[in-house]
Order: sequence, then structure tokens, then C-alpha cells
Amino acid sequence: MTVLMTFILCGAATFALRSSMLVVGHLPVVQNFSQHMRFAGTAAVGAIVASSLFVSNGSATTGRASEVGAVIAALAAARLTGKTSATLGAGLVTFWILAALGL
Amino acid sequence: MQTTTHFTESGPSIEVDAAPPSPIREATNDIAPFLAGLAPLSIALGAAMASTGMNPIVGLAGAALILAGQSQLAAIEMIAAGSGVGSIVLAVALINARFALYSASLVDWFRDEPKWRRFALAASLVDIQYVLCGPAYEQQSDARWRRRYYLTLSGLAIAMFLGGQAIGVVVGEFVPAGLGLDLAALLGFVGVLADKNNRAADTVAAVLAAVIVVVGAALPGGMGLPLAIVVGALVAKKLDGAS
Repeated sequence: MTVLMTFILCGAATFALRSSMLVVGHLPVVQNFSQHMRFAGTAAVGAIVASSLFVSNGSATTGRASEVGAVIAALAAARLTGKTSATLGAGLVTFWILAALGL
Repeated sequence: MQTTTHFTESGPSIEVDAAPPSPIREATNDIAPFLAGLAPLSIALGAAMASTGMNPIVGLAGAALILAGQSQLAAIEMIAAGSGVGSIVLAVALINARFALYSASLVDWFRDEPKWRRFALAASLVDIQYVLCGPAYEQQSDARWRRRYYLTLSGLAIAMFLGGQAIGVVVGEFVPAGLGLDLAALLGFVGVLADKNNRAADTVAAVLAAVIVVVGAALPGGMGLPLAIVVGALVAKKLDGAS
């Protein structure tokens, strides 16, 4: 019961964040702000990828070579082929090879 | 099918515009790279949940309530470690702080929707909508089209997220460690990044946000991520406007 209640509270807190700007969205500053966020999606992807690779427990790290190599290989495959399967395949295979090499 | 009447010197002419593409088909195509990455990540999350001995029904209910993998994993680990409820909720809120930034886009995207519906749409707002809806909505302004596109993204992502975790609970112990399943979701994002990165401004937004999130890693409250997104987006917009 305590675990479920914890999840319910976590869900409520997350919903409050998800809907926070709807409450104050009528303010001109919020409307002006959202109109300047055209490239926010691309920025979010860059930040999420970099954060996953180079941030751990609130500190910047050099990242694991196997994961960085996998992302570079996936990026190259995506650029060259534009196919999801090739992107995932290149990334995962690179990761497995580098991890097997102890990197 | 939409028709537009123009009045010219030689008389009225009627142009027939092509029908907008199906929002369901568009959303399904756009989300495919994410789903391919989300599936293994969800299985890894389910396996992690099972390894703590947590009741799988309660665990899956938690997944449905939070709808965010990184913070769900943090909550599972903290529950297993015996952390207090307050600190778990605080940790989840800090990890999910970026959703406050995302919700500003809901104001713009669904300006004509009634308030209750915007709150309902906010319940399933995750990274995927934030990344995909902006570009798609530049082409489509119809409120119904936008709503159906968004809800299709939500439905597919949630189905994959919860379904994958259910599978992970069952088969988790048979999945070899070090398979890199949790990396797959990241690779899905990479695929989209490469696809979107055609304009100089897109490249600036992604690279600048990446640098800032690493430099700002130590910022309190996990604010490095939302800050990186805002600065990256604002500088890119400035550059795009200047060019």
C-alpha cells in the first residue's frame, strides 16, 4: 500500500509539472516564451542524448567509450541510410563490440 | 478536401487543395524510430522492477502513473533501498522538471481547445510529443488534426512503454546483462536527431544544448536539462531569424 501510495504521489507531482504552464499560460510572458521555442525539440534531443552519455549523479563524466561509440555509429548510420533499423543495428553492434573489448 | 476561390482579372478561379495527410498515419510513421528504441528500454525497466521483488501489478501501476522511464527507475531503486516517501517524490519531481518547460508548448499547440481537454492532453505529455509535435504542427493548424496526431503518439508510446515492461517482468531474468537494452531508447533519439538536423539552426540547437547540459551538470535541482533546452532553442531561433 505504501509503495502504491508513493507511486500515486509521484504521478501527481509529475502531472502538476506537465500541466503547470496551462495554469499560467494566459500570461503574455508565457505565450511569448512558447513562440520562441521552435527549436526546443531538437535542443531537447541533443540535451537528453548528452545527458545520458556524459552526466552521472549530478556530475559531468567522460562517458563510457562503448556508449559514446555506439551513439556516433548510430548517428552515422542514420545520416547515411535514414533507416531506423540501421541506426539501432549499427549502434547496438558497435556497443557490443566495444563492450566485449572492455571499453 | 479544401477549396479556395481566387478572383482574378479573367474571373474567379477555384483551386482544390490536397487533403491533409492522415494524422494517425503521420504519427505512426514519425514515432516508429522511438518505438524501436522504447521497446528494449521498457523490457529493461520491467526486468529492473522484477529484480527488486516488487509486486508487478503495483510496479506497472507506478509506470502508468509516472509515464517517464528515468524517474520511474529512480523511484524503483529508492523504494528498494528503503528511502522515505518525501525524498522519492522530490527526486521524481526534480528529474521530471523538464515537463514544466514542455507544458508551455501545450499552450501554443492547443490554444483553441477547452481547458479541460488541454489538462487531459497534458497527462500523457512526454519527450516524444515535445520532439515530434512542433515540426508536425508547423504544417497543420487544424485543432482536430493536431489532437488526433498527439493522441496517436500518446497511445502508441504508452502501449509500448507498459507492454514492454510487462514483458520485462516475465522474461527479465532470462535477458543477459550487458545487452545494452537501456541504450536502445537513446539510439532512437539519435535517429530522430540525424533526421531533423538539416538546418544550421537545428544543429546549433542540438550541439549547444548538449554542451550546456554537460557544463551545467552540477546545477541544483536537475535544472541543467531544462536550461540547456531553453538556451539552445533561443539561440537557434535568433540565428534562424537572422538568416
